[in-house]
Amino acid sequence: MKWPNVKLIFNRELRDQLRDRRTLFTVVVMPIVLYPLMGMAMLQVAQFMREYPAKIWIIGNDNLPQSPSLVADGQVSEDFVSESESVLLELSLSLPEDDELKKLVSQFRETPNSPAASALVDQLIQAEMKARGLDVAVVVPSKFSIAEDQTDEGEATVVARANSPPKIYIFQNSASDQSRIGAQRIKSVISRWQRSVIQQRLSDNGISPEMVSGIQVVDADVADKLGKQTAIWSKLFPFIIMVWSLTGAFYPAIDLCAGEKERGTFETLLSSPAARSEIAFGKLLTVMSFSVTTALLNLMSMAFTGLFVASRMGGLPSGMGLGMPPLASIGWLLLALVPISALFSAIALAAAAFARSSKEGQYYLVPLMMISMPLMMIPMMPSIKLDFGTSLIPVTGLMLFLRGLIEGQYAECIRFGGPVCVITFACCWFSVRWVVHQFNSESVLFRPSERFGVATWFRHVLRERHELPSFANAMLCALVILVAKFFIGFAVSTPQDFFDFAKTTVIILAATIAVPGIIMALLLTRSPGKSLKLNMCSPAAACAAVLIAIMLNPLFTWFTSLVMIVYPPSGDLFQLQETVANILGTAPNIFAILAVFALAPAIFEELAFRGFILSGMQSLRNKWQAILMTSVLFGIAHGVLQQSVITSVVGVVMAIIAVQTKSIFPCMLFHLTHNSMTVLLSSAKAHVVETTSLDLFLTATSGGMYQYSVVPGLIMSAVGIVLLVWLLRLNLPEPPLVTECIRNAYHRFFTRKTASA
Amino acid sequence: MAVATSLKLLQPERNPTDDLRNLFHTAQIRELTFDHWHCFIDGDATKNQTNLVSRMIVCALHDRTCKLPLNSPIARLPKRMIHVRALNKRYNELQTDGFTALAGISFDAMPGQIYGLLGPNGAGKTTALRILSTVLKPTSGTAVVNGYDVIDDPEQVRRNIGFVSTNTAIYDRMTAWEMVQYFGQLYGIELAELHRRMEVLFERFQMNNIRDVLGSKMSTGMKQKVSIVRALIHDPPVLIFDEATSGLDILAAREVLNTVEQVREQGKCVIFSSHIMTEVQRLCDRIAIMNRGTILAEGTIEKLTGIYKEDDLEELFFQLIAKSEATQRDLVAQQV
Repeated sequence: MKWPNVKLIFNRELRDQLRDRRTLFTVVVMPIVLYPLMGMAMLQVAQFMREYPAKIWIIGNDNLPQSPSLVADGQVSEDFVSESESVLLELSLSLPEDDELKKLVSQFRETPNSPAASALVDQLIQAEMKARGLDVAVVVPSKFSIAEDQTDEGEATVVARANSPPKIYIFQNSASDQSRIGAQRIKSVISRWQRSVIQQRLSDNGISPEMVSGIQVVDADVADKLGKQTAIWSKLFPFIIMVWSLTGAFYPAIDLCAGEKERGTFETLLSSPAARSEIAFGKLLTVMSFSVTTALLNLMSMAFTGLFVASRMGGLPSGMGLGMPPLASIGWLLLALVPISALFSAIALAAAAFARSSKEGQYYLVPLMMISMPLMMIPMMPSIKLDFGTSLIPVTGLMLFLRGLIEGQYAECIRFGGPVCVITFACCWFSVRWVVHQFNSESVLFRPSERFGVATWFRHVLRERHELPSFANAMLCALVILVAKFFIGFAVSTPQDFFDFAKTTVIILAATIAVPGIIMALLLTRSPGKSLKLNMCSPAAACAAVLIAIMLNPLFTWFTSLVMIVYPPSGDLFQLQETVANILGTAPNIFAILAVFALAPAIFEELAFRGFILSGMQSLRNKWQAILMTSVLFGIAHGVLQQSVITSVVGVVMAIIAVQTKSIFPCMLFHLTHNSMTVLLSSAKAHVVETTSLDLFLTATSGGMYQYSVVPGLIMSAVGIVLLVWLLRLNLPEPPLVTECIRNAYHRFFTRKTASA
Repeated sequence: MAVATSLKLLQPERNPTDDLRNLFHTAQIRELTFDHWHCFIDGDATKNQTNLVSRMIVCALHDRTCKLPLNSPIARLPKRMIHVRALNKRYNELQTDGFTALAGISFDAMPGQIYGLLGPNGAGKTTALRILSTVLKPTSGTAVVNGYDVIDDPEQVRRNIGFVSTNTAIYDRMTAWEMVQYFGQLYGIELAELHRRMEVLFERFQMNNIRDVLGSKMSTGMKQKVSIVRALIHDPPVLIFDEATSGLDILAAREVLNTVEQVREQGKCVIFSSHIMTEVQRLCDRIAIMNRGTILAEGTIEKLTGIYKEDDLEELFFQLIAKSEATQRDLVAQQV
């Protein structure tokens, strides 16, 4: 790639876009003008914004005690409300006008607990409230007063009364904001009044009010002003930056690809000496610059307008403490903006390259927005924090990482810096590769408009299939497996006993993993047998696979312990393990457990992963790339983080075996042996170990489990690694397919029989 | 296969094609270009030329130093600027079983020659020219431009051609001057030299008045002029005009045709595709009449009219197309 050409294309595209009024408007004018305009509008509207008094209807005011009195002179007593609050409460003490209602209310006051009566009253009060334009109705059904309690009934009654305290009913219309606000206001007044009532009762009975207050909780905020500011900015900034860098990439990408196709200039550019990759990079850099500029301008304009409007509107609530963002946060943002906009620009460009026209481009980019949005929203949730799992989610991981950096939690962030950077750069790399691929693809650049039909598409797929699966086929298979596993996870119920558990596990393995692989091999390839690597395997290869599995078992067991230390399992996982252990307790014998945990995965997972998916990955013509990608997909398919990490590593060994022996059967044997040994080790009993002299290899751990002893384990691992290296150096010819061997054997048998006859 | 035959006679135990392939890379016969070789392989060379090459091959086989005499007949062989052999292009479409746009076409074009590609819409002209300009890749076959293969050396091919397409393909938000300069820079011409060339070309095409006019403000004729200047800026030995006059008024079209003639006089090779007979009759030294991805007839206009006993090119064209369509129909009927 010649960088002068990239620079030339970049300069031209940039100038071209800067001369485009639409782009300029979206990127520059809109952020500069839009937010101040919105701010002005908000200030204007704020002038009309005021709080309206809530109309409160109190029925049965006469039932309330005289002292402390809640209502005085048709107003809420000054003891319980401030002056500003009292303006917002407009009381109406008049009795219902309707005769029937009057009767009902008096009935309700007598027997307030009858459900039929209360429902009817509810209805009637609602009707009356509507007719008189009232927001809240407060009903005091029965008479109660503190003084009477004491004089008439004595102390005993006070205790009885305390068991069933007098009731006050508040009728509100939750569908109306005004009514809800009114109800809240009156409730807070009543609760203040209630406190005063209690105090008075206690003091009347000669008890100090402090005695019942129990413990006084005092809130104290240790966050300094800067900390509070960063807490808000750290959530707000990454989100704004992400949204605007995506939006900023959107329109230039469409214009640079689909627009150029539409105007016919693309062909001219393609027939110039600039290579496709140079054109792609030139355009990508242009889209990136617009993405970065849009994000920055929006952020700046939004921040300044926000601060200005906030100061004009009398400041934000004191708890928010929004001030100028800390300087360091801006620095981190600028640093993160480059990979973010590179990622979004590349995805937008690749999608736009596929479109024939600007209009079509918009259709493709809207789903992109829909997919990205949830990824940006996840980090805004309060319960989400940066851990290994979230750091592996593209965009989300980076946002959380950025949030941590802005908040100054460097020590926390550094731990996950590696995964976040790897995932972000891998995403960028893949999307840039995708852009270059799109620019190299004739079918993308000169795509004719065709009528799409499922039947025609299916015929096309069958017609165009190759001998072995392609990379895209492999990725599709992995995706289908993931989606199928996700949905079936919801569909199955919790198993009750071992047979139930065994049945569900085997069915899930077969249906979600093996079946997609087999069906795709049959539909998408001309040679399903070869695609699934159903080649014969020599006895030597089979022995080698089993031996490697046995010898490497200590290493994998230690690795599992290490993973559990680095990523401690959560409570859910323990619960799951406990459930599984309980169910396994009902198993008839160890062979049944081995069939479910070792035999079934060995057959079904191998067919899909080391069979179809690995064959597809091998179309990339890079052995190690194929091995690693298959193993990562194999890991992801296991769902639980700890298990994913472990199975990815085991998957590498299995993929090496598959690639080197060119057959699936040694992999199945490896998988079977590995899983069997893991199950046996976890269920090893002390008397068995002692009687079979396995204690030479195993030592008991504190949890009553067994672990490999260091020296024998190390020796075994060394032998295993040597075997693996030996296998890697082999260059075996491709063995014949199993089906061919069977057919040949049958023919040989048949001809010999006829010859002898 | 003159050379191949003579090789076979000289060394019967060796496979001539392998030897030929090896010989392309031997130092002794570096003077022979790729085109010359094809000339010999196809049997176009004279007896003397063949003998000379045969002798050189024998020398090379025995690893003897053999230099090409400066005044050898090979030096007088016309060099092929464009060499197309058995070019195939199949589009992989969803609806049909794939659509064959080119079904093995072959032709050659020499420097100082205007080669016309004549055919109805959908005949495969644009596909062939897009392959020559490396925008599309052929499904099979070879296409060589000035000695550079379109698959092996696409960048060099692009440097050796200037492409003027059907649609005028002008950037709306760039001025005439900026556009020509941009492409000139992409061709790697130094800025001072580029400006000198641009001044000359703008003067020649009387475009100084539209120097600073944006593409969106230009008329179709102006746009096509800019397009031509853009294609000429790097002084390529091959120029491709793909229906360059369609959509132009009569004055603008005439100007384009005049330019094509001027370019020929400069010794450049021009591929001119069109479906307007008068243009082709006026300009082309050699034509190929195409339909459904195949060449129905190829040669000079005189030769073709002579063979088919038809004076008028338009009549000849109709006859050939009608015949080809009838054959096609018969084929379909047979299949059914």
